[in-house]
Amino acid sequence: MKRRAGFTMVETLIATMISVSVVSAILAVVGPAQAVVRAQGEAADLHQRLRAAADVIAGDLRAAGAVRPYRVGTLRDDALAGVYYRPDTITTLGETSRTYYLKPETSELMQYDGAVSDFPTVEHVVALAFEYFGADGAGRALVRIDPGILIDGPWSEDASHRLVDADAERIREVRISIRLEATAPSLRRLVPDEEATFDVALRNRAPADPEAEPR
Amino acid sequence: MALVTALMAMLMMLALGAGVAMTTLTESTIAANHRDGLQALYAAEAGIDLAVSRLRSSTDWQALVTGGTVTLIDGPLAALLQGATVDSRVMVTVTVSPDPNGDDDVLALQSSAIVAGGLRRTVQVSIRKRPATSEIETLSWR
Repeated sequence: MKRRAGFTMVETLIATMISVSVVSAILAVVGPAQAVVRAQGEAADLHQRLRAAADVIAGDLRAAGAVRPYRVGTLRDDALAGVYYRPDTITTLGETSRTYYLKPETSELMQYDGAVSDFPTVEHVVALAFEYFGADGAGRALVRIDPGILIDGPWSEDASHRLVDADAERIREVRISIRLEATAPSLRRLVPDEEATFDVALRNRAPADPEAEPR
Repeated sequence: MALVTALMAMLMMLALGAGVAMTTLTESTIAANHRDGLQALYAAEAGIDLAVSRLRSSTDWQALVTGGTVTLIDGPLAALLQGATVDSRVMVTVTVSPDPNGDDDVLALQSSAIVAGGLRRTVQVSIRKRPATSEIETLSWR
């Protein structure tokens, strides 16, 4: 029998096995790399949402004439329900009022304008907390205001007949802690939650005016 | 066959690498923009503070603004804050105007800062001089 040019069965089989192992090795490397590529975009998005949240809250706080640690508004007013303090809620009062709070069931940072619009500003927010700082007795150093004294009176009433604890007038600076998670649950292993804590001095309240300082 | 496989693998890795590089570049551009914005905002606030400290030594505010809006401060922030370690490309302009409501003891300040990236932030403040103590009180800051 005349031998024809070509590969024998054994040669072909061995060649196929080698090719398959090489290709599968390549795929094994590329597969996780693809997840990393997706995680990169996710991480960038997470950082951007964190910046957006920090900017929008800090911007309103800087310009605020006063802040309330609860929700103020015509439709939903915590004060009407006798609630004067929520650790995850802040209302800035200026030319308009803005309330920021966390909606736990949907993990959304909400912005409420005190009347009709109550909409999500940033999504996948897992934690939000506000702390308050005010001048100490000497009117110099800033000390943390215990939330307990923000709900015990004495009460004062503003022009819009909203009740507020007189100690809320002492607030000079607000510390915001916010924690965000990645949008895709499958990527949370590669993109850990990001947390930021920052202080904003209320420009319209500081520097402390020694004569206007409450006792 | 081996060449084709190697080429394909190379291409795949290249595409993935390019994707990562792209998002990283975008991310760092966004971060740089955010930093520039904050830098401009704080520079504008520094301009206001500088203007207030200059107005403190001025006895007659009305003489200052008789001609309407006056530019009080204009130049690089680093030169205005002598010796401070501030980026020399940050420019600050502060203008002073009489009170729109006609109060003689009130001035309206507007401070604009531009940073190297071309970003601008503006802060508006109105201040009042208290005749009794000659102290300056901030009325509004936004």
